Amino acid sequence: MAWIPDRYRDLIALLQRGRVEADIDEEFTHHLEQRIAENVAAGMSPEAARRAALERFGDVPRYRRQTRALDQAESRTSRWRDRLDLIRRELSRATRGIVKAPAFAAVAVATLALGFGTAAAIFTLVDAVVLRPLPYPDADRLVVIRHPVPKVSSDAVWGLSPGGYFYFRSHARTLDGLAAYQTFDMSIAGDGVAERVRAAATTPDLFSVLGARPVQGRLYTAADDPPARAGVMPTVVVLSYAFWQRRYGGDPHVIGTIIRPEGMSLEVLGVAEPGFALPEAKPDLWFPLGLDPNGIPHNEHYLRVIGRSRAGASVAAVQADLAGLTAEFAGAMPDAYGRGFMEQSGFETRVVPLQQHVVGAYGRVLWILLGAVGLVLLIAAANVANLFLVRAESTARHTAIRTALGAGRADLVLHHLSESLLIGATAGAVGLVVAYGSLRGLLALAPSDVPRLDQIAFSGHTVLFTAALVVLASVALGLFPMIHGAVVGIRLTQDRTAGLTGPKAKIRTVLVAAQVAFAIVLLAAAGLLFQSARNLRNVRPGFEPAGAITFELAAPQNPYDTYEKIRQLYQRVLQDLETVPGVVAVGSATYLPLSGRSGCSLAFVEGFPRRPEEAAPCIATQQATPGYFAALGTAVRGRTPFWTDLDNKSGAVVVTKALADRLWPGEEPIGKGIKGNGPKPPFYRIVGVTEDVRGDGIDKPPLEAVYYPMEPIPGAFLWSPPGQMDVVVRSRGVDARELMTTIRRRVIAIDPTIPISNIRSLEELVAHSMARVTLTMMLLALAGGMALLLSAVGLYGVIAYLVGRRRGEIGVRMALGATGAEVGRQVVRDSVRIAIGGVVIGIGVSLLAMRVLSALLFEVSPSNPLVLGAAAALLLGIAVVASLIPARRATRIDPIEALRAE
Amino acid sequence: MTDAVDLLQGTLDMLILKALSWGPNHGFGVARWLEQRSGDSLRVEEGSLYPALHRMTKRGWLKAEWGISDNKRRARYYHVTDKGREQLADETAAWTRFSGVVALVMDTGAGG
Repeated sequence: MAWIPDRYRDLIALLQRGRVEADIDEEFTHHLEQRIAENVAAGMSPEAARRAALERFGDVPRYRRQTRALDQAESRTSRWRDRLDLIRRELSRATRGIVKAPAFAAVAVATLALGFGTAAAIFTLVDAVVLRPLPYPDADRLVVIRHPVPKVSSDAVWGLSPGGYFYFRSHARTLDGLAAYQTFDMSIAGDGVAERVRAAATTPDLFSVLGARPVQGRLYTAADDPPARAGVMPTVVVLSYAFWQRRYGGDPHVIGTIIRPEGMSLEVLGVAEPGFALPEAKPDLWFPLGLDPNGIPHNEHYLRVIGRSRAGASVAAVQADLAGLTAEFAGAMPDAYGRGFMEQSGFETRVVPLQQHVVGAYGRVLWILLGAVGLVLLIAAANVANLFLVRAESTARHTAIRTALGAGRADLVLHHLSESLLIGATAGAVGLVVAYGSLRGLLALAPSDVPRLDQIAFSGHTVLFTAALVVLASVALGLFPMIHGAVVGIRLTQDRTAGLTGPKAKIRTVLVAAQVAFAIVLLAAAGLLFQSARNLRNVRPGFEPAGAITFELAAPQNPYDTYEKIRQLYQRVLQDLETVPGVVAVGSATYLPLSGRSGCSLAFVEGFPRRPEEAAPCIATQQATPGYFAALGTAVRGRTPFWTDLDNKSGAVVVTKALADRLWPGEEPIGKGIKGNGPKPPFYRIVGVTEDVRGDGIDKPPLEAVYYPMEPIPGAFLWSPPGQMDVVVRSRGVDARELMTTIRRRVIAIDPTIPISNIRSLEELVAHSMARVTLTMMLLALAGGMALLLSAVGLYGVIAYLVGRRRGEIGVRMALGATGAEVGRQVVRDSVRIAIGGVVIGIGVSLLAMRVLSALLFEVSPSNPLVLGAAAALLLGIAVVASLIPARRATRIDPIEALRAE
Repeated sequence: MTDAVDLLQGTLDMLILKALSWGPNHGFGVARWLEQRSGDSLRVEEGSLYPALHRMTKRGWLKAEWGISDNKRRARYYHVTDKGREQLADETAAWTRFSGVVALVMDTGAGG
């Protein structure tokens, strides 16, 4: 009822409201007039009679208002009742109609459910990973503060130094709080079982910045955080709720006891509330960082820093505030931040909302995927639109009769809408099931570094999103046949327009061309990512991924507290593992390439005196054992260090080719001297140069790194003893699982308190580093495949429809001597013609749209002609295949029969 | 606007039904009937009749129709429906019972 004349309905309502009021006024006036007349008759003056009548009546406006409210409520409810009645009637009519056409309903529901389901699944990911706020109070006020150093390397971003942290904390006007922390792994060896735990050392204000509360005991405060000068260790610890439950079974008596991870002695102060964690990690232990506000500032940037902006201060305001303070660094801390350093490194300060920092690169990936499934949904909807069109035509006679019997346009709209809503709602419900299933599949595939993966769950948001899609799609599908006139103005006679040009054929052709265009876009995207993944796979990472496993070995600080003890331990373990049958090479280093860890420190080159204000370059430094490069499979020119080099303190080091090229361009690097703590001798001596190693990512430039020995040579300080190292074991002809068992046994035989963790194959390491591209590619390929299938169905449907309508014409042509082959070719040509239109548009859209992918692409141009050409060829091929069955049917048309049917 | 019926309102409804049970009448007619039957001792604001009449119409106890009154003016006439008649019977019974009980209680109180 009343579909188009919304305007008129409002007008009627207005008039009705006027009528209601006029009626009440007339009733009241009648009453008062009668009473006045009576009073006058009783001898009152007209004025007195009027006053008496009004007094007797009471508060006229109030009674008028009450009466009116009753009347309007009355007319409103009756209107609603009428409307609901109508809708119920139409729905039951639609249900009957659909039940009579089960094939139509099943195909439409299945197609839409697929579209809704995939869209809902990806939306759930976007919602949980990107949109939902972080689990901190007023999380939108949290910012991450870091230092990009664009002149060191375009990607390099450092943390804060203690000096910088305290400078910001005491001078920033836009921050309410600023917290610094570091995370690391440590061993707890209570009861003979060594366990690796994640620990966070934080400034006490981290708890207030992130809004943490204790569930037991208390959290540490500034009073518990004395500056940790030489040898002073933290003395208190706060446990995470999960660790408290896991290790102590939630025993409240643990408060006040002492735990001893790695030789420290920590009093348990309290337990943090469940779920409290850092944005990027879930530490088991929290203890004070022990920063000294009065310490001498150093140029060492190891702190991660989160700030809470003052209420009302925008991120840009914080950025401007801190940038201003950064400019004061050179004046305030000249020893740490000399002007030369500031200029040479391009040192700056960047403030990023915490949410954005956490979501990182995956935000873009997920939006791209949501766009992709959106296109799949559009393609699916186009197929269903075609189905609705067919249905509208098949019920055209019925509709025409209804029109003749006086059904208005509005009634027909309601009729069609109720049918499409019924189908849409069913598809939505099925779609949610599809979404649930595909979400589980997605979670199994997703790389573990996707942030907030554990928080992904079906929520009300998903249901709302699906409901919105259902309503949108149903309304569009329901109204679509009307818009193009398949319903209105139907004659009871047959429509004989044929070929590609009739109005109905045209709308179908456009729909299918649009499908083809969307499919091209999806296939092009999938193709570009496929090409990227292939290019990545062709890059040599600088080591041999196959045939090697790696694990982490951590020497507890007690008793392994000196270079010598640690070196002896590793030498014993590694040399012992070399004797395991099948093992080819064993070695270890402080971290592996592609492990996501990195760091840099200053490097000084022999014979390269620097002016004091000139900064030494910041170079990735590692400590590596003999055998490391052989185990990794990295080619080294020159030689690699031996254990005897360590015994003799010969100071033999290896550098990467990229570093050699940078420090000694055009010169022989072997034999040159390098060291980390100042330009005076003695220097470490370069004995070998590796091939290019992709340490930071396969798609990143090769690593510039020095591999120092585990033990320093006298007078050439190294940072700290490498208590924790990644061991690499290369083997041949041994089962990796068996090998690992043997390795465990051997390590336990040497020292049972040493935990082994994080066992992986090097291949997994490489796969993990490519996971983002691989996942995006697989999902886009899936979307592209669905698009292809749906477009094929769409093309088939339209071509079959056209052949059906042109039976007469084809019959005439065959009667006039056309051969079956000619007729068949014509049909195929029609199909290809439709597809070509879509291909052209699709390629145009792709050229514009693929730029959003460029951050994910590796050595592929977004407009790669090969990829676009392949996508186009694939769809044209599909167009041919889809037309084959209708073409065969066309060749079998019997001219006599076809003409008789005319 | 609440549908909760307090004593006064309920009583007013009953009285209106009673007034209209003698035949269709307009709002002023109901007012005059009440005035005559009570000897003008029932002080009800006449305006309050109209929300009551409209509410009872909405509930289906009354039916309203426009007609011409004795002074040749257009007026809304109300008549009691079957449902209204049942309602009146119920309310009369309840009222009789209620007033009987109250009278009984008051009598005892006075005598004791």
